[in-house]
Amino acid sequence: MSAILECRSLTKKYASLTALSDINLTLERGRIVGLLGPNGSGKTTLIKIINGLLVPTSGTLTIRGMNPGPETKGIVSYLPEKMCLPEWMKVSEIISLYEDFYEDFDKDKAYEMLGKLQLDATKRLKTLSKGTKEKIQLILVMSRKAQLYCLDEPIGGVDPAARDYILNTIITNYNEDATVLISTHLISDIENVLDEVIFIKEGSITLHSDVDDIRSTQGKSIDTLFREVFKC
Amino acid sequence: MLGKLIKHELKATCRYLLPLCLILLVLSLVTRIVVSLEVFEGTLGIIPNMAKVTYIISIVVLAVAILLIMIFRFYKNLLTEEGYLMFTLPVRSDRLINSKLIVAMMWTLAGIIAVIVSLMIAFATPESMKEFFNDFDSFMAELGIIFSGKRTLLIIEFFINVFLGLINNILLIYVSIAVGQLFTRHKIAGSLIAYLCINVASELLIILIIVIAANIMDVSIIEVNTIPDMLLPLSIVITLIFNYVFYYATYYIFRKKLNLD
Amino acid sequence: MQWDLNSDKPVYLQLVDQITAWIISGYYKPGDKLPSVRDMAAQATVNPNTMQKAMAELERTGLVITYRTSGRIITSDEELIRRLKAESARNQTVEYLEKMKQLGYSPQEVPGLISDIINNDTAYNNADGRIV
Repeated sequence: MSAILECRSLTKKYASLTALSDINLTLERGRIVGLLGPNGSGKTTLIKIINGLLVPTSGTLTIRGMNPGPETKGIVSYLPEKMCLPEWMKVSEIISLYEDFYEDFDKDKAYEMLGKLQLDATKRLKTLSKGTKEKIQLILVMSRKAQLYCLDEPIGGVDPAARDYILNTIITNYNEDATVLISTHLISDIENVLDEVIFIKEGSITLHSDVDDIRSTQGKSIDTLFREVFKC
Repeated sequence: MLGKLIKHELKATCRYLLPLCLILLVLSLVTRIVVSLEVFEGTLGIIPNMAKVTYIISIVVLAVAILLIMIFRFYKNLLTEEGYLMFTLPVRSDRLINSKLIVAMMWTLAGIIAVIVSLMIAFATPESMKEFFNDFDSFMAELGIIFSGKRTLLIIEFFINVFLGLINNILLIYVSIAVGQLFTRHKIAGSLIAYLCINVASELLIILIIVIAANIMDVSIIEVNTIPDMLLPLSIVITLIFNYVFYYATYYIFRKKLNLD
Repeated sequence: MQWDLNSDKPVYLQLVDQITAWIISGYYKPGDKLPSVRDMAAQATVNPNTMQKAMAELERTGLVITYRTSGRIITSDEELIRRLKAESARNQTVEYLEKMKQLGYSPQEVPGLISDIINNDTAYNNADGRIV
């Protein structure tokens, strides 16, 4: 089967709210998919479940038929919204760590990308700027030959030049057998990169469609459609 | 994978603890030199005393540092932003606990050894060592008399108890931190309260079990031989059970109830 | 060269238009080798699948030819390029005439407007009368 991710009646409830409600979703291989929705719509919850950081209340989520666990973590590459690398480590040390734990990590590629940024690998992460650290995190994630990349808000809060760098990195490094899931609320910046979009609102999926279909049948950009659908 | 986690954990902790151990050893050497010089007359006599005091303080500092780093590492590396890295590594979450537990034990034992070595550097002389071994021999002889025939058993049980007790201290901290993170707010307060509650509850439980066991077995607790026969073995078993409970509670919370910010 | 993509038409069609324009204008010369789909997608900041679709369309129209060993080459068929250039010019002229009509100028008045600018505006005119 070519589906990389499958959700069936996936629900996640907390004491005071329902973050995800009866999600049914299938993602195919080789697609760049946008998970679009306002803050609090459930995007991060879904991504956390994919990466085994949260457990569903009911329903199933499988990656290549497996429940989230050590095996799926070996084929899913996750870029969290937050900076999660230990500050005391040197760049070279964090690369070693990734090399140690991930079989699909390409060390040469990581160093090549670092080289283009003219970064000294002996520097400790705490001496680097926030923007640089975010780029390093992205480089580490994209240097893995994973089957599913989950990028949570990769371009939120970065300057336009950094944004171009990030999108460029994503495009040039993705491979045709892998799927990239990008969760964001900044749509106009990335819609040209997407194959498919998923609109998620208050824990439910309201739309899942090819980008070209939307543009040709509705004659408007994804950004415009999003504003209409999620009007306050 | 576990080996790699241990390697990473050692790297992260030795930045702090190795220098402290070295400082300890250096201070013990300084103390040794300053005390043996015997040139400090009168008011200068304060210097050898200061050296001794500084050295003793550094022992305390090392002990406290090992404890604090143990706590801090567990919390920061697993339950703050770094948790996003650690819990998405392709390893089962019990390995994460194991690596930290093993390294914490390693540092505890290393700390004990460092203190013993430093004490010898600072204060040992041929005479004091001879005196020490003499005292030790007579102590062992006395033990042999009191616990006729069971001295070896006693010593073995004692060390097992200490070992399991050290593990127990660490796991108690871990499970308290894990329980604390179940609270959405005030996680640190939650951990402290959990620590107190679990600690008190487990101590009471131990006392209760010992008393009940003594009654059931119709044995007087005051009699000396109950120590190797009943008290220590019972303590070993209870500590083992508590260790399992604390461990699996932590593991369960990590597997099912993890909720990173 | 900067890619100029708006958000209403399907992206791959916009890519086709843009690349066609570059071929017509001579920025891409006949026989030139195009960069890889991935590199072009990265330059344009679009999905590689989308760029692939655009390439497929360009191959269909004959502007781009794929050789198994050498990659994608701009056609050497100068007649085709000339034809497309003429067609593009025609479409733009029609569009322009429509815009002028909206302003209130009839198509007959338009040539006068154009020669006025060409003859008098130094941007289009050198001292010796050569068209720049």
